[in-house]
Amino acid sequence: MLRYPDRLGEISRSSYPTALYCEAVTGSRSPFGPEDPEVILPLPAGMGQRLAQRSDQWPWSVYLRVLPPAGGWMSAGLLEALADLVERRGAGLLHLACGGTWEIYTTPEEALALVGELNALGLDVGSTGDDLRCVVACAGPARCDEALVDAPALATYLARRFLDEQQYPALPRKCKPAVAGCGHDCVRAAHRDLALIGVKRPREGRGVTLVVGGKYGARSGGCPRPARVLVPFVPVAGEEDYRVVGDLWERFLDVWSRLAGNRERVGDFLDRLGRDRILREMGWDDRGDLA
Amino acid sequence: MGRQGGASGPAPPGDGRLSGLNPEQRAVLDYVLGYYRQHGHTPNLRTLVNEMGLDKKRVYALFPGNPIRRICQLTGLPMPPEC
Repeated sequence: MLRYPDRLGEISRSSYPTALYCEAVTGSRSPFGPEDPEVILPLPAGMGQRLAQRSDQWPWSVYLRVLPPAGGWMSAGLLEALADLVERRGAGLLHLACGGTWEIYTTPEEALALVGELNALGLDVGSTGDDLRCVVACAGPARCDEALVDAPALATYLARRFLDEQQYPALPRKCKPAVAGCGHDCVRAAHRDLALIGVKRPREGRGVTLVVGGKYGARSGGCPRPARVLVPFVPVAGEEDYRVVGDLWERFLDVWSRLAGNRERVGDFLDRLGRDRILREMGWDDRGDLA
Repeated sequence: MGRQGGASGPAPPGDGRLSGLNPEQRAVLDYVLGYYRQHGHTPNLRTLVNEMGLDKKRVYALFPGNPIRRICQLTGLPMPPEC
């Protein structure tokens, strides 16, 4: 008889302390504390430490966030290599996290060696703290007949161009990006801080819409808000147009970094300044041209 | 606005706190102190990198972990307003 896989079944086959999970469910308060900003970790981003009140049960307090290939594919060879790595140096558990990264739980002693082995596999870590998080993308034309732009290719270009932004935090707050190949938005780009959505216009052809400021989290003021359009259309016919899209991201991140308030997410920043002011700061003149 | 120090900024920290620093680290601290005196608050990391013309990775190498927090600890200056 087929049965839907059970998360406890997976977790209990690893070194993850299942008792702590049970305590989190049944206890009056979570055994997990906040992330400790005072902990000086050897990497600026990509490595975090989740503190637990029950340190006796939680030896796997360090986690790594692996930046996956855009689109989320993993070959059987890579899957096998990761499985071996996670078993040898981690808790024997790989978490395909909601944010798009692959999380590995490990110990402080193993963490750096694990990153070294990830590097040897062509992977790296990032996407923690106040930085540009992992650039997620839908499968695009590799799997979809609706795709208007090659979302994984564009996301790969952006992830490589902004790799430092993902690994060396210097933004006012976290910024979650995404690239959707078309308006169906399977990757939920409209939930994200900085995103592109593939569009097609009758006379102008294919391109992307730049949307910013999606905010659905606990601090969204009780009113989840989708991202709003900042630039309605940027032509993207092929790889030669990716640079212009990247320039827009760069200008936006610079303006947000320069003018953001106290730990202000992109959505709140957009509410406060308004679209027109942000576009002017990005270099748009009154005629709609970009300086 | 800053949480401590007047418009002219706090006095430079004593040599005890700075004794282990190299000239490159001292240059960054001097810049941040000057910025504070001029603007009344400390710069954020992006401003520091842009205005000093430094590579962000270099700043992380000089002040591991959270560079701005580390710089503020060393100088005694408050964290930037947006942090």
